[in-house]
Amino acid sequence: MKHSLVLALAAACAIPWSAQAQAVKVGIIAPMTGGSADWGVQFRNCIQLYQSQNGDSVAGRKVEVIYRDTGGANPSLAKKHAEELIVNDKVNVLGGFFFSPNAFSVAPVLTQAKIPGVIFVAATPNITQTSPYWVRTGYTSWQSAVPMAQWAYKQGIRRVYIAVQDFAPGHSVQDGFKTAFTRLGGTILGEDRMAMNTTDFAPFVQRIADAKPEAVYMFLSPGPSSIAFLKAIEAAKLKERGVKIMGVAETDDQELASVGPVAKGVYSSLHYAVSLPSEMNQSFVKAVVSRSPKDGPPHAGCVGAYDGMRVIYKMIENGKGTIDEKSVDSVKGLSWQSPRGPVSIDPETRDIVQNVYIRVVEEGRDGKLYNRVIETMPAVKDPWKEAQKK
Amino acid sequence: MDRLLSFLSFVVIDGISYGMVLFLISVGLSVTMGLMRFANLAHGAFAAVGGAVAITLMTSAGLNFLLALVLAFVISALLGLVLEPILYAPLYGGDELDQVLMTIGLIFIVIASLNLIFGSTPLPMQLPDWLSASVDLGIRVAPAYRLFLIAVGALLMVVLWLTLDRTEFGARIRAAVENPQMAQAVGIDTRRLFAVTFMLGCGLAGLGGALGAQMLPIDPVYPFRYLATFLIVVSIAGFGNIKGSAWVALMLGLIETTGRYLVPDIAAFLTYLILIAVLLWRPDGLFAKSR
Repeated sequence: MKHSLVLALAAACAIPWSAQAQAVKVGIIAPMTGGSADWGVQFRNCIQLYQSQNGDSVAGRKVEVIYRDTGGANPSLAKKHAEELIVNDKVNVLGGFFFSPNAFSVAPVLTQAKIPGVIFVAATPNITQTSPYWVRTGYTSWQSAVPMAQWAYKQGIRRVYIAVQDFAPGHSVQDGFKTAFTRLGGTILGEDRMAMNTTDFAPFVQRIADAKPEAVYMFLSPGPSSIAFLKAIEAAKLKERGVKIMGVAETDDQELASVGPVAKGVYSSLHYAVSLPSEMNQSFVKAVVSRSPKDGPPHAGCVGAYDGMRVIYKMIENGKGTIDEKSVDSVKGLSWQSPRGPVSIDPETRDIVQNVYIRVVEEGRDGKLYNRVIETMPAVKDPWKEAQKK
Repeated sequence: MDRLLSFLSFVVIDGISYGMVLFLISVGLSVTMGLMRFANLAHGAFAAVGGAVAITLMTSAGLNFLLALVLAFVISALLGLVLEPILYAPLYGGDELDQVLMTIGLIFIVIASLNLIFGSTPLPMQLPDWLSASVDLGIRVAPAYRLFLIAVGALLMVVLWLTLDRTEFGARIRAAVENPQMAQAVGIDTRRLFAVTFMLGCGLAGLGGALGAQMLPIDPVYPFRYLATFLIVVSIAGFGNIKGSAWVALMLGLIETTGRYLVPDIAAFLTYLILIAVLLWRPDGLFAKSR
C-alpha cells in the first residue's frame, strides 16, 4: 500500500515534468512524391533552413516536424493524414498544403480539434473561410490575377483573351482577372477553358490569333501543359506580332530550365521572385541553394514554408511554449520582414498581406533565363475577399 | 472566303500534323499489341526513354537532332531486346491480366528510374533552328516542325507498309500471327521473329517519343499521361492493323483539331464519344478482320 502510494506520487509529479520537456509537434501534409514532389521537397528544405537559422527549439520546447505524403490532389488521404497526425502523433499544429482540395478536406478536422493549420501554397481564396483555425502564408489566386489585370490596363492594354485550363484554380484566376479588368474598362475578347487532357494546343492558339487581342492572359499548371501551350504560342508567332503573354506560375524561376527560350518575354505576377534584390533575399537564395543544389532555387513553395515556420514559432513563443486554440489569435496582425518583402497576417481574414511583383522573363548576363521584377504592387490584401464585401 | 481558306488550311496542316504525332507515338503499340497479341501497356515507357535519350544527347552532347532521333530508336529497341526475353517472353500467349499487371509494374519502375536520373520536371526540348522556323506556303505560314512531322509520318507509313506487306520478313510475321503452330511447322523461328518484332515496336515507340517531344513534353509521368491516347488509337483501329491505325490517327487528329477550334467546350469529349460509338458498333475495331 505504502509502496504504491509512492509510485502514484512519483507518477503524478512526472506528468507535468515530461509535458514540459515534450516537443511541440508540427505535422506537414504535402506532396512528397509524384508529379508535384518538388513542392513538398521545397517545403522540407526550407523548414529545415528556418530551423537551422533560428534553432530547433523555442520558448524552451523543441520543435519536431513530421511529414505526411499525399502524392497528389487526394482530399480523402489528406483528411486521414490530418486525423492520424492529431490523434496518434499528437501534433499541435498542421502545415503544408499545396493542393486546395486537400486543404478543404482538412478544414473540418482543424475546427473540431481546435488546432491551427498554416497554408504554405494552396491558393483558392475562400479556403481560409472554411475554418477559423487557418492562417495563410502563401498567396491567393486573386492576389496574382487582379494585380496582373491592373498592370495590363495601366500599360494601355484594353483587349485581352483569356485561356485557362479547365480546373478549379484556372476558373478562379479567370474570374479574378476578368472581374478586375472589365471593372477598369477593359474588354475580354474571348475566354477558353482548355480541357486538362489537351495535348495539342494549336487550335486554342489559333482561336486566340483570330481574335487579334493585345494580350493573352493564361493559367496552366506548371510542367508539360504550360510548356506545350507556350510552344504553340511561339509557333504561331504571337509575340512577334506584339501580343503580350501574361500568366501566373507557368514561367516561374524553377520552371525556366524546362520551358526554355519560349519563356522569354512572358509576363507574370507573383508574390516572390528569386531576383528580388534585397540583401535578405539574396542571402536567403544562397542559403537555400547551398543546402541542396539539386533542388534548384527557392520558389513560392519555399517562401511559404519558411514564413509558415516563422508564424508557427511565433505561436509557440506567444503561448509560452504551448499551442492551443488561442494561438491563431496571437498571430493576427503579426508583421515581419520576409525574403519576399514586408508581409503581415490580415487580422480579419488570416490571409497574408504582401507585395505582388510583376515580372518578365529575360536572359541574364550569365545567359540563363530569369524573372526580372518590373513593378511592385505594395501590400496587396486578398482582392477576392475585398470584392465580396462590396 | 479568306476566313474559310485560313480555317481550312489551319485544320489541314495542324490536324494532320497532330494526327501524325498520334500515329508516331502509337504505331509501335499497334505492332506489339496487334501483331504479337501482347497487351503492352508499358509502350509509353519506351517512348519516354527514347525522348529522354534524344533530349539528353542533344543538350549535353550537342548531338544533331536527326542523329538523336536515330539513337532514340536504337536505344529503345535495344532496351526492348534486353527486356523481351526476361519479362515479356514468359507471358506470350498467356493470360491478358498477367500481361497488364506486368507491364503496369514496368511503367512504375521506369517512372521511378526516370525520376531518379532526370528529376521530376520536364526535360528541356530544343528544336534545331531549321525546325523552329516558319515556312510560307502561300495561303498560310506554317511551323516547319509540323510539316516535318507530316513528312516523317508519311515516310514511316510507307516504309512500314512495304516491310509488312511486301517483304519476306513481313510475310513471316503475318504467318506467325495467323497460325503460330503452322508457322513453326514450316520452319519459321517464331521465338526469334517475336523478339525482332518487339524490338521494332520499342524502337518505334522511342522514335515517336523523341519526334513528338516538342508537342508532348517528356517527363517521368509520360508513360501514364498518354497511355489512354495510345490505347484509343489502337483500339479504334483494331489490333494488328498498321494501315488502320494510320487512318484512325489522322482522323482523330483532324476531328480533335477542328473540334477544339470550333467548339472548345465539348472538344475534350469528342474522342471518347467516337471511341464509344466505334466500339459499340464494331467491338474489334474499325479495321479488324471479321473472324
